Amino acid sequence: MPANWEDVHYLQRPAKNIERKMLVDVLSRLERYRHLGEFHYIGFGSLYFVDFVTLHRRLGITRMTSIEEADDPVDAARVRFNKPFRFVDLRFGHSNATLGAVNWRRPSIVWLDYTRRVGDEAFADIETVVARAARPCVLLVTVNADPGPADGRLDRFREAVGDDRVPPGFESDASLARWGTAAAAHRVLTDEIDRRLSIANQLAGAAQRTSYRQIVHFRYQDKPRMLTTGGVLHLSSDTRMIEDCRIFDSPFAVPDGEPAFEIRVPNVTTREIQHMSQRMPKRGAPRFDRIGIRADVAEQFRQSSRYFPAFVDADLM
Amino acid sequence: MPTSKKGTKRVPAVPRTDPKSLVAVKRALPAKSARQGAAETGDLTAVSGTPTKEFFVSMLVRDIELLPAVVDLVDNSVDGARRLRPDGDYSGLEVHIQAHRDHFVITDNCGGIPVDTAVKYAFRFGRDKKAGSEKHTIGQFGVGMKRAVFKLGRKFTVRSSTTKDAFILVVDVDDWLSRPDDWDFLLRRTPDEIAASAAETGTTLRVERLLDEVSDTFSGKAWRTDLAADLRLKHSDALNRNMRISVNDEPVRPIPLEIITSPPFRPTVQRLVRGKGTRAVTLRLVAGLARSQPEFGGWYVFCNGRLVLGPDKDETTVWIGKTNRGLPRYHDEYARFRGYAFFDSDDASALPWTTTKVGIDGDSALWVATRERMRDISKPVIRFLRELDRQRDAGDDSTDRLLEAARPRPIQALAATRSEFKPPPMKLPREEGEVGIAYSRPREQVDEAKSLLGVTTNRDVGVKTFEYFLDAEGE
Ligand SMILES: Nc1ncnc2c1ncn2[C@@H]1O[C@H](COP(=O)(O)OP(=O)(O)OP(=O)(O)O)[C@@H](O)[C@H]1O
Ligand SMILES: [Mg+2]
Repeated sequence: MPANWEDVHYLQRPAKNIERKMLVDVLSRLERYRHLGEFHYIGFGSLYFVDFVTLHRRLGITRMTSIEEADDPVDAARVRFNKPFRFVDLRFGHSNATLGAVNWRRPSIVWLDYTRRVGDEAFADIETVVARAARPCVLLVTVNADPGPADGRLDRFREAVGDDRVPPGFESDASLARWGTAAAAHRVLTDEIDRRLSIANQLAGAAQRTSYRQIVHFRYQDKPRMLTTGGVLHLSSDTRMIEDCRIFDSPFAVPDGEPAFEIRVPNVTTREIQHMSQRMPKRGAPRFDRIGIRADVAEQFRQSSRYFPAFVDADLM
Repeated sequence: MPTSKKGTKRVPAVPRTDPKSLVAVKRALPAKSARQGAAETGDLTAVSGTPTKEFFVSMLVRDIELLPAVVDLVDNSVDGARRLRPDGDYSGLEVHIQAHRDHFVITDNCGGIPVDTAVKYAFRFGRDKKAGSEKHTIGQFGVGMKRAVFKLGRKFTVRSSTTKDAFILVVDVDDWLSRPDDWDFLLRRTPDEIAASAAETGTTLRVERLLDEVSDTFSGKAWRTDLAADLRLKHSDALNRNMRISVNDEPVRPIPLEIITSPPFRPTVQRLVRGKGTRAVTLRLVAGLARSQPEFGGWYVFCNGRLVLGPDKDETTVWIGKTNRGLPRYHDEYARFRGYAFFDSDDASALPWTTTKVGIDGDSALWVATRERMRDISKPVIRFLRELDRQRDAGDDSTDRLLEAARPRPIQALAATRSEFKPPPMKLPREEGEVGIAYSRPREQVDEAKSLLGVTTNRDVGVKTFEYFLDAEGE
């Protein structure tokens, strides 16, 4: 399979960039439960390995596996050249074919960061992760959740996931409009993890039973609408310890049943960023009408300012 | 009421303290056979053939999965709706399912269970022939409700009200299991709960002390999607008759069962009656086209309004993979194919379903004969879709455009009149690997063949007679 990573340069995806940092904020709260430096990170590094760099820098992870679909020799050479650290293990081939052979024996963070829609590809990988990964395992899934044209929207969704996975409440083109497709995809993914987990639990002994606790649910839109959701697969007996982490104190963590965290990136200039950062109030709504910034833009900036891509991104090597 | 729940626990026989309020519901047991002969001759000793309750219950629940067992409970509500609304409009009738880690409840307002039915039949295992069977039901075997409660948990409560009477029945299953020879349940009449009007009648079944696996499933989320997906398919008929069904407060929507009815794509519609008297089965077969939806292409088989199979895409129906016989395997190019088979009978036992109603009884002679017919009427539709694909490949979308313009309609709205699928002939390039055969015959012979075959073009005569020959003489 030849590479398609030239589509969009990662620097042109500010929301994705912010998401990655917010994710780290949430993940870092698990440190109380387990030392995150011990975790194995499994992701789709592509050419840029931005997530690998961030997780190594921020969480101290030194065991990493990147799965790369592009296995054309020329592309592969380029991926090897861009590998940021010696300890990143590269596996070439589609995740459906390669994920099974990953070493699943230690705690892991797996980010199935697809650019495609939810469908069989994701289901197969979820099955592998839930069945094989040692606990605890943080499972994160990103999918394209763009509704596309209204006509035939439900048909397309149904074909992608299969009729029996279409959740109640999403049985019309209109229900999938705007963020509707993301909501449906979130439910489909959560359902699938639940299904796989109950199979795993049927095979496991009582002491090995595991639970899934959602910790993130992001929506963002660099161009197509995207959805990320994920949570911790952990021994049911560890529930208390997970609760002690107070994950949901993070403003970006979203438990199951709560509305998604929508990452909005305001279009602001560097000059405006400096101005607002200096004067951002500790509490209350920020007001910058004097320099012509509307209230909603100011609020969006407030929410994401800490994670806002700097002019020269700190994550660049 | 004199008898407390505790008081009834270890009582071997039915306490007769208040015969008006407390009624024993007789359990049917095939226990007679071993006992009778033994009394005549001295050296015969009766050997108990009575099943232990544990064995009986484990056998009962073994061949059904959790969600189909729940669907069985909805079947009963739908039967209630049919009883209540013979005209088939179920507006205002509702079934609500709620399940959580520690309990399961299904509630309907579909008429309720009369006390007499409850005492004589509803809680017995298996349908008693003498009980006088109701007409045109989904219920047939007399096990669905009992099997479902045993599948779910170890304590159940049934409350039911009709406009004439009402009752409550509480069963502690562990307690019941511990009394080996007493198969009765105790029912209490509740006169104060008699429904004032038909709209207030109904049944609520609550199960507690859920089994571990059940509790696990209901603690998760996916079961709601899975159950809703099952219900919207299995009970699309009732839902399309405006019955409302919800699962943990989420309404279930029926899947669209559609067919294009406008010429020149009118479907094949056949209506036949098999068997006689009360066991007569009316059969309606429809084969034609609808929108291109790979997930919904295939055959649908209904028994008394309940979907038992489909959308089937394999050899259970017509997709047997014999391309040279016009019956290929299902493939996305058949995403417009729709076949519907409706079996209806006053006597549910005349229909070809399995006890769990999740499939067809493959041994049924009625089914085998019907399947042949389904295959026959599928062939022209399948052939049309293959040709359509070739036409499209050749860059000609004229038939596609005609099809896009044809609006599919709900199958419920289809007129009962017979018709035959006769699409307009297409101009086609020859398929790769195909050869042409050309020959001439006298016009009147060809015309005769046309009318025998029910086709209108010379080309079709050539193709059909050839298929006919291979069907009869081929491998
Ligand atoms: N919700 C309900 N409303 C009205 N009557 C009901 C309801 N549930 C059960 N019944 C009565 O109880 C009887 C027994 O139900 P059960 O499901 O055990 O057997 P069945 O429906 O007769 O046959 P099957 O095993 O094929 O389902 C039904 O025939 C019906 O008379
Ligand atoms: Mg029944």
